[in-house]
Parts: sequence; structure tokens; C-alpha cells
Amino acid sequence: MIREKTLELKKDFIHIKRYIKFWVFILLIAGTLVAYNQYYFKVSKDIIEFNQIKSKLMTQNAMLKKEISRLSSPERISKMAVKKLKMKPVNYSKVHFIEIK
Amino acid sequence: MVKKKVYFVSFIIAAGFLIVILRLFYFQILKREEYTQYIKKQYYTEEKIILPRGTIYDKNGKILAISVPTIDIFALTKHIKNKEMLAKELSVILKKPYSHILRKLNSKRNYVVIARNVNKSLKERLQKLRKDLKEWNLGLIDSSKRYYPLGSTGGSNIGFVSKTSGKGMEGLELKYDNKLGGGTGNILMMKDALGNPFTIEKKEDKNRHDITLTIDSNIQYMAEEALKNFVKQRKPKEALILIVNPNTGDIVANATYPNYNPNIYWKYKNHKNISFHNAYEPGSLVKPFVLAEAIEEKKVSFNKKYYCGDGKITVDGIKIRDHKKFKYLTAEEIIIYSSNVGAITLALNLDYEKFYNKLFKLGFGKSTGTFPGEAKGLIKKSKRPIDIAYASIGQNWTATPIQIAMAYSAIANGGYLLKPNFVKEIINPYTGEKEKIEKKIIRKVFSEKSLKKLKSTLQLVVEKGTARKGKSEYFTIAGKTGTAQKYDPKIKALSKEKFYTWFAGYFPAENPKFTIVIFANEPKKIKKWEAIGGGTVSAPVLKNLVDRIMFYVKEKPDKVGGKNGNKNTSAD
Repeated sequence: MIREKTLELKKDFIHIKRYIKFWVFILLIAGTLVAYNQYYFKVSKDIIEFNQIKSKLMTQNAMLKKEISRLSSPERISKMAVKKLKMKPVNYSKVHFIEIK
Repeated sequence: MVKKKVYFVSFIIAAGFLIVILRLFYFQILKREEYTQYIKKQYYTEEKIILPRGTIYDKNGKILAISVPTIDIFALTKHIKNKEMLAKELSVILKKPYSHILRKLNSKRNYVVIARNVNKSLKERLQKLRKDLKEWNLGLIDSSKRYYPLGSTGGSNIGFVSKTSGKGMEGLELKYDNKLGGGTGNILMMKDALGNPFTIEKKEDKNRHDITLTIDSNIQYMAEEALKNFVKQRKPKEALILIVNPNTGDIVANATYPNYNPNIYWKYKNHKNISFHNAYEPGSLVKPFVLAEAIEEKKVSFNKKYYCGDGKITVDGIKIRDHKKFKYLTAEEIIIYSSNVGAITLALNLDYEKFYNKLFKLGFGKSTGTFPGEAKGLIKKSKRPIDIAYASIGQNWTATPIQIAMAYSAIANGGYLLKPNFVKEIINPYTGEKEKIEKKIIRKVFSEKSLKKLKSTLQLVVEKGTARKGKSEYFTIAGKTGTAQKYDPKIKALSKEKFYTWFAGYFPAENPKFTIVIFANEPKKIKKWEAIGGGTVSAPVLKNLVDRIMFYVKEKPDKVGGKNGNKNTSAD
């Protein structure tokens, strides 16, 4: 009985051996596909993360631009110049123009 | 027998596959649209969001309008598990009353917006809250809010965008709505089997351009500050200071009263920009055009003195009064001292067709097409002497302030009528491509001979004539004052109390850099004995404003005799 089974296995093994190249090839293809798939998901995840970072930075950029414009508004600067720095409107009689030749 | 069995089984399998393929063909090809719509209804929900618009910059690159990314918070109320807890947490993050949020969450509607235009920096906190409370039916949608960093400075020019539709509603926001993009866009939110939204898909709006205006926000502020002081002093119904580059037609500043802050546009009843939307009687501002036409028709002599009567003239049996008894005046003095009788005498000598054609050629009676909803002004050709007489002193016909500015710019730039322009360039933010807006010459409107005379005469109007109160010590200014009586429906005649007062001119007189129009509708008297007019009301605004603007653009004084004066130019 055991001998019969062994012989049968041997036969199968010979059979398997004949197609081993194909099995290895299939496994290699499958492995490559799995690896590629994992890489693809990683890249997709990175893209999503970078897009989120980009969106966040763009928002921050817009907020900062808005803030710069608000802070540099002529109304605000004029108020600060007059009230805080006690500046006065220009008096041309006290202005000296230097000619550059 | 075995072979038969194999064929039979193979046939059954093949037939089975064929049926499946045919069924797939039916679903995927024949009934594709119908089932796609069915799936969309079941798995997707469509929401409207406000898309960002292009940025509006001033001439120097300062932002005048920007779309700031924000988020809208919504909830699918029937799927919210613990409304009290969610309302409590949201009220802390959003700094909104707990009761207000809870009321929204308890609403009978399935979809409620809890807050619009929330600062996007709160997004992470809100996402964490959703995760912690496992309230997956609390949703966040990207949106945007239009923000005007300079507030009301230049407000009536820039206009505003509707906070619900995201489209331009007034001013340049409306005029360039197609270029700036924005509006609302649809986004698809995918729903899982339980109806919970889990993915948001949004299309990027590629039809968005940035716009650089010709407005200089610093000069705009100077003009608005001068106008503010003027309004405080004179309490007019309406007033404006319009500044244009006469050589290019670029509008550098346009300060109007009333004005509004586009950030809170819904709090204002009036969104008019009177420089474009309203037309007024121009009064004596027309007199230089009468003189120009008289020179071109060779119907005026500068060696002769014209009899300007004893302060009145009768035309078609109607008496028209002057503001003074001038007796005899030269043609130049008629303009310098703004004599109605003198101007009417000159106008009645003209070919009436040519006179009206001159006014039409100067752009009156036709909208410049610069601003949405712009008025045309009303001017009708008439050969009746009384109509010609009134037309020559700027009564019985109307012009918009921008038309006046462009007509005076034509005197300043060598006789060319230009199309006014608000936009310097249009930029594609994705490609960086720039479309420059070139100046547009409409036509030549003055001959060299008439220009020479007009330029010297208008300078004298400011130096010693009706606009002398606006004279600068350092810069030469040329221009003309104007006063038009308003029609009073109560007395069914021209009012002796209500006026439009004007000043229109340019500076520096020799090499003009700016054209300026100063206008007031029904300014009040400061002193009881004071006579209201362009010279007493509008011209005095000039003095400080001209000095301030010229210092800002780093121009050296051009008046002879000034301490820092340019010795090569003359004041008269």
C-alpha cells in the first residue's frame, strides 16, 4: 500500500517536474503583480497625501496673501503714519530734489 | 455514448456563457444610460459648491479681491446618532451657540448645512471630531469665500460676488465674470450601502483668470480720503473724484460717495458707481468745447472783445443769466471767467449741426462700455437757438463723469479720444500666459490750433480764473469749473439752491500725467453768504490732492519760481 502510494507520488513528482518551469513562471508573474500592486497603492496613497499637503499649503498661501494685503492697505499704513508715528503731509518747500545725471 | 455526454455538457456550459454574455450586453450597452442614472441616484449625491474665482490685483500687484478656500459643514440629520453631543462639540470648535447648532441638527430636513465658509484650518479638528464620535454623516465640503482685503477702498469699482451663487453681481466682478470664473460647481459625493457619504469628487475649474487692474490703490486711497473730507464739509447727496491717465485712458482712481464695503455688500442699499451709472448736466465744463468748435469753424477772433451784456442774454424770449456783469470779454476770458452770455454768443454763431457733432465726437450720448450698467447720457440735436444756448452752457443735456474725464483727457493728450480702461492685463494662473490690454484710440477730436488755445486758456482758469482756489503752489494745473442748476420739480424750473458742481482738468499742465474730475451733487453752503459753484466747492479739493499724488509718483514741481521748481517750464 505504502509502496503503491510512493510510486504514485513519484509519478506525480515526475509529472510536476516536467511542468516546474511553468509553475515557477506563474509564481513569478503573480509575485511581480502583487509587488506592483503594492507599489501602485503606495504611490496612490502618496499622491493623495501630497495633494492634501498641496491643498493645505495653497490654503495657507491664500490666507497669507490676504493678510499681507490687509496689513499693507493704504488706509492702515496712513493711520499708523499719522497717529503712531506723528507723520505730516509733505511740504514741498522743505523737499530737496537731487538731480542724477 | 461518452462522447455524446461530453458534447451535451459542453453545449450546456457554452449556452450558459452565451446567456450571461447576452445579458451583460443588454445591461452594459442597451440599457447603459438608464442603469447608470439609477446607480447614480442610489450611490451618489450631488451637491453645489462655490468655486474659487480669479484674483484681482491693483496696478502694483496688491490684492484687491481673492477667493479664500473655506469649508462648508453639513449633516444628514436622520443618521446622526448623538445630536446633543455633536452640537456641543461643534459649538466649541465653530464658536457658535449650542442651541443654534442643535436646532439645525433637529431639523426635519434630511440634509442641513450647519455652517458655511468656515476657516479651512479647522478641517483637521472637525475630521478628528467625526472620527472620535463616529458621526460619519457629518460632512465637510470644500468651498471658497470672496474676500476684499482693502475693505471699502475702491469698493464701488471692484463690485462684489454673490455669497450664494458665487457669481459677480456688480462692478468689475460682474464685468469680468466670464474671465474670473467661479460660480457654483457640482460635486459628487459617493454613498455606501447605508447611504453614508464617504468620498467626495470635485472637478477643478480651469476657466479661471487673474486680473490686474489699472487702479493704483494708494492713489485710490488718497482720492477717497480727500473725498471723505469734502463730503464731511459739504454734505452733498453724491460726490466723486475720478482720476484717469490721459495718455492711455487707464482709470487710476475712482472715489465715489456713496461707496460700499464689498465684504458686507448686503448691508448697503445702494451699489451704484456714480462715475458710470449716473449722468448729470455738465454746466460750464462744455464751454471749452464751444471755443474749440468756434476755432475749428473759424468763427472766433482772439483780437476782439465780445459784449457779454449786463449779466443776461435773451434767446427766443427766454432770459439766461450770467453770474456776473462782465461787459466786454475776449474769447479766452469767456472761458477763464466762465461767462454764460459769452459762451452762448459764441455758440449761436456756430453751425448747429457741427456743434452737436463735436459733442457726439467727444463721446457724449454714448456709453463707453467700460462698466456694467453704464449710462449713456442724454443729448439731442436741436436747431432752436434756445436749445443751442442751453447746450453751450451745459444745461438741458447730461453726461457721465467718465465721459467728461475722457473728453478732457483728449485736450491733455494731443486731441485723441481714448476708450477708458480698467484692466491692465489678464493672467492665466495655470500657464502664466498674460494678455495685455492695449490702449484704444477712438478718434482725433481736436485740431492742433484749437488744442494750443485750449491748453493755455485752461491753465489760466486755474491760475487766475474761476478755479483759482484749487491752484497748487508747486504744480501747474489746467482745467475748468462747472456749475449746473438742478431742475426742481416743486417750482417746475431750474433751482437757485440746488446745483451740480464740477471741476475737470489735468496736471501737470505742460506734460499731463493725470486727468481729474471732481463732482458734487447738491453740496451745502459752509457760510450763508457763499455762492455755490464749481470754483468755490469742487476746485478747492484739488490743491492738496494734486501735491500729494505728485509727491507719491515722485514728480518734481514744475512751477517757475518755486523753491524746487523746474526752471524750464512756465506757469502761464
